[in-house]
Amino acid sequence: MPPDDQFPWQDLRAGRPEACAELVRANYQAVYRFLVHLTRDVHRAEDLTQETFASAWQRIASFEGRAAPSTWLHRIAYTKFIDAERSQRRAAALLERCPSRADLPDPLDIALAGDEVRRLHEALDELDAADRAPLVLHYLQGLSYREMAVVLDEPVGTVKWRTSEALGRLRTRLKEEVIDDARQPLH
Amino acid sequence: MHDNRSTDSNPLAGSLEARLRALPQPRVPADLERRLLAAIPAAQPLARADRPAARAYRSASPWRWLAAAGVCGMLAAACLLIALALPRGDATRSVAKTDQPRHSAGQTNAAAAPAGNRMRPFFDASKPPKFAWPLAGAPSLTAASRLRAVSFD
Repeated sequence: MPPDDQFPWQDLRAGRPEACAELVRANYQAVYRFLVHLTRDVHRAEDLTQETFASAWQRIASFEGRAAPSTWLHRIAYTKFIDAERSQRRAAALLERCPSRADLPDPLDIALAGDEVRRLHEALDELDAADRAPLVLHYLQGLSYREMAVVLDEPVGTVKWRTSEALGRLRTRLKEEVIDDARQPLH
Repeated sequence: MHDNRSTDSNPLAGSLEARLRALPQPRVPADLERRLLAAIPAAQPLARADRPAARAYRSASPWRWLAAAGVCGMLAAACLLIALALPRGDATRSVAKTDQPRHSAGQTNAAAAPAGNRMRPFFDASKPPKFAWPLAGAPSLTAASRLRAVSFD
């Protein structure tokens, strides 16, 4: 997606608060949801969202506008997530991290949405972050492969391949769950 | 722009993609926007390209490059001149040794010798030149010949 011509780039680079507020309003939800899917932890996602925008304000002067602002912010968010994962991996050696399915934002909504949605969420959560990121970016965030290449800092071909592989692994997990459910006795 | 390979190979892939797209998105906290807006700094730093120092550097940079190139050229020329002005002792000596016939002690002609050869005794103090003893009828001896101790008694 080419940069938005209507967006007030000059005001943004000049640090006008109105332009910065517009950038926040237009993108904070997408950035937050992306981080929720990556971290599976709403509190971490909130923290990382704030860190993402704080980092954006620091870099806004050097932002050249080659990519769309949402792509640029997704890139910063993904970098923040990778950094947080690295530091958490170090901490995980001391304290084993529990699966945070209970931290999912709307368990009630998911339950109400149906068993299929729940299965899909669970299968998505069981994937590695490296597999989850392209799926979330492409199917849930609606980014194109070209934009994903900017966010993931990889060639477009690699991003397509990663997305296809992740989709295959997700399909395998869903099939396994269906088979497991079929094996369970009826109550 | 979607991957056609997965949809072609598996008919279920298309439906899986549609189900992924239809997944309910997580709810965004109500006060997140307020917190993010409150975190916007009042005065952003100027763009790097618009800073006064960057402007001055950008305007002066062609002259800076020219001055640097001139200084480098002058330094290179000075080094070349110094290298040319230095006496090439070793090279001249090796040429003189190979090209010129070996003179005996009596035939040494200092005026005819080139400048490098004239300077040679000065530099080769550790290697004394040949010396002919002034003895009538006796074979000439050199400083390098071994003399018996009784000759000096």
